[in-house]
Amino acid sequence: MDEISLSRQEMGIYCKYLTGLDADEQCLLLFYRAIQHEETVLNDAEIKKLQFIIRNPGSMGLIDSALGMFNPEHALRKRMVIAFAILETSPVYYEFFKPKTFSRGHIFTLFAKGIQEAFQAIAGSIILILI
Amino acid sequence: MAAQTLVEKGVQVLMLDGGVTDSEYAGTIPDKDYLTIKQQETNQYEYFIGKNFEGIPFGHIKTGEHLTPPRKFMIDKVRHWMPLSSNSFFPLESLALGGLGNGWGLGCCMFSYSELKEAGLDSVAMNSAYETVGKRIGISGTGDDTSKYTAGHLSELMPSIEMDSTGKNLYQNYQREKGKLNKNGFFMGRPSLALLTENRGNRKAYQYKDLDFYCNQDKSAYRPTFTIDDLKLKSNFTYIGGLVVLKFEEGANSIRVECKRQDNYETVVFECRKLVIAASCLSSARIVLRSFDAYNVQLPIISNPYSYLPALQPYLLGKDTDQRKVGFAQLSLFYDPDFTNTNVAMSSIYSYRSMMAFHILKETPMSTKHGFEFLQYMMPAFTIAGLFHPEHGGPGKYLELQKTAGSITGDVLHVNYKLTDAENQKVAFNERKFTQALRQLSCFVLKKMNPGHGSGIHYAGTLPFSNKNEKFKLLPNGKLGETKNVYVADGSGFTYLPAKGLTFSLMANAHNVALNALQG
Repeated sequence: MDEISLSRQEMGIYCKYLTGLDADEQCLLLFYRAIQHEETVLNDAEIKKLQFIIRNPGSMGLIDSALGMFNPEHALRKRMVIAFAILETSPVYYEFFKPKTFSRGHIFTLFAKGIQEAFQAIAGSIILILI
Repeated sequence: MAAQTLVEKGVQVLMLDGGVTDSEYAGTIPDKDYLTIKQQETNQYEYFIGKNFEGIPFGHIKTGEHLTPPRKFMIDKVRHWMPLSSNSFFPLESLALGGLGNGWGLGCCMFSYSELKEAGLDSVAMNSAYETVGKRIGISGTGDDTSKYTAGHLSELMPSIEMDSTGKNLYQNYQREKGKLNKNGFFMGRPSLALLTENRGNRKAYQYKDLDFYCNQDKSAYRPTFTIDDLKLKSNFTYIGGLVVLKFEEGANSIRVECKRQDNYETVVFECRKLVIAASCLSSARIVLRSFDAYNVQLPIISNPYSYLPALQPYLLGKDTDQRKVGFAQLSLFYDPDFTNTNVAMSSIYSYRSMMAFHILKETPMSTKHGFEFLQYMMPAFTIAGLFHPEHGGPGKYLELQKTAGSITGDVLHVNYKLTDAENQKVAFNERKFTQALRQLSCFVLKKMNPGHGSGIHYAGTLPFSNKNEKFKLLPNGKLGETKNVYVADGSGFTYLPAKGLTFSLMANAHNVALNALQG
């Protein structure tokens, strides 16, 4: 798979995973340009991990949690943050990123998500070791 | 400010300047507020994250990394023309038209009598200059508990800007707790800002667009470029940009100033009767050291230790009800433990929105997805306290110019900056005190961030004031020792750096030095 197709698939998965929507053309193009930065270039082992995510998009959440918690300087994590920044500055995804008001009870939802996050991070770490 | 004073007095002024301007982003931001832009503008990524993604922090955060893409021009060409080496000091310098003033946070504080004395400044002249400068730039503020630390008692003051929920909630808590806090030396109030809240000429009152880190379309925030633009209309003022001043040589009747052009590296020489240097204290030191061929000579430097404390106000969790947010400081918190208005530590309080979630997300030890869900809930409650500490010089704080073949100027400025153990303990003590005071205001500090020496962008003291006519010292009137007609009008002379915002005092001093240059 060539570099451009790989980057389009990668951004497509991040976008769907984060916002539930498909990535629009502008975001796909911007993502390809942004990941040319030397800090985000992947080595062979990282490319293998990315290819695993592309083949198994369902693993995205687990790997995202593992990298966020245990390896925040990983190039894939940096690319996820880039994807996030591109989506955050696109009006197409405004509804997802706009400021929101939550009920007091929302803290319990977040608490549950925090616990889920810990389990996901452990499972994701195991996957990353095995790939 | 010095140039304006000289021009107003009718003398011929030639300004030699780095003159770097923003050619990339000027005029690209639509005249709308932050949320409307977020909702409507397809090309918003250009100014929010940068045409070349320079607004995304890829690696370790360095000084200046926090500048938004439209502000990055401030530091363009600096590494090339002003090389600096240090493993302990990370300053921000500028060759821009208007210099670091392009990103100034607008805080206007007046040094107290004892602070002025300790800094080597004349209190009568400075208090008069504060009034003059205040009238020139336009200041908004409020007379409150902190007036004696800010510029809240100037004769001409516009009303303060409105606070958003971050400021309102904290200030309400302060009103409830102020008895106890005041007893412990803490005072909170509205900062004096060089920000218009009433229309004035071609400058409009602040419009609450929450784009304060990106642009200044209404010119409500004072920037030095406004003054230079006005001066360019005067017949006794000439401006030449695109230069780097290297050195001067004083002759019997004139001073020869040697510069290099940035575009073709050609050497250009100007002659003048009097020279006023205001290149900021690091560059003024470079010019003076080169002029005296003084390599490997150590000069002192002072820079306020700076840290910032991200905090949460739990009451505001999940309540993003503000349509209008404010990027500038909304409150100031001063710690004056002995009630003498000397050695006061100062914190400016900010809310967080227009810098966007991705900057914080990067630092969140969670997945991007869950991390953002947490952030969305927490962002209305985020409160940033930027904390400055007062600073004296010391043996571990110095700079020297070293010759090197590898740089365009043939030299590199080496800076060493090390606090003593006692100073480090004092800084840590103050941070603990501020953390406790904020907790008393139901605002809980999450982390202490220390970006390193120089990151506070308050520098001074490289050519300290002295009553003796000595080389590398300034006489109290700003004249450089052992020269006849060379003056330094920036903070190079200050022998002490209060924690209070420095810029207003720099401008006042520049005005005074210009007046002294006319008399001398």
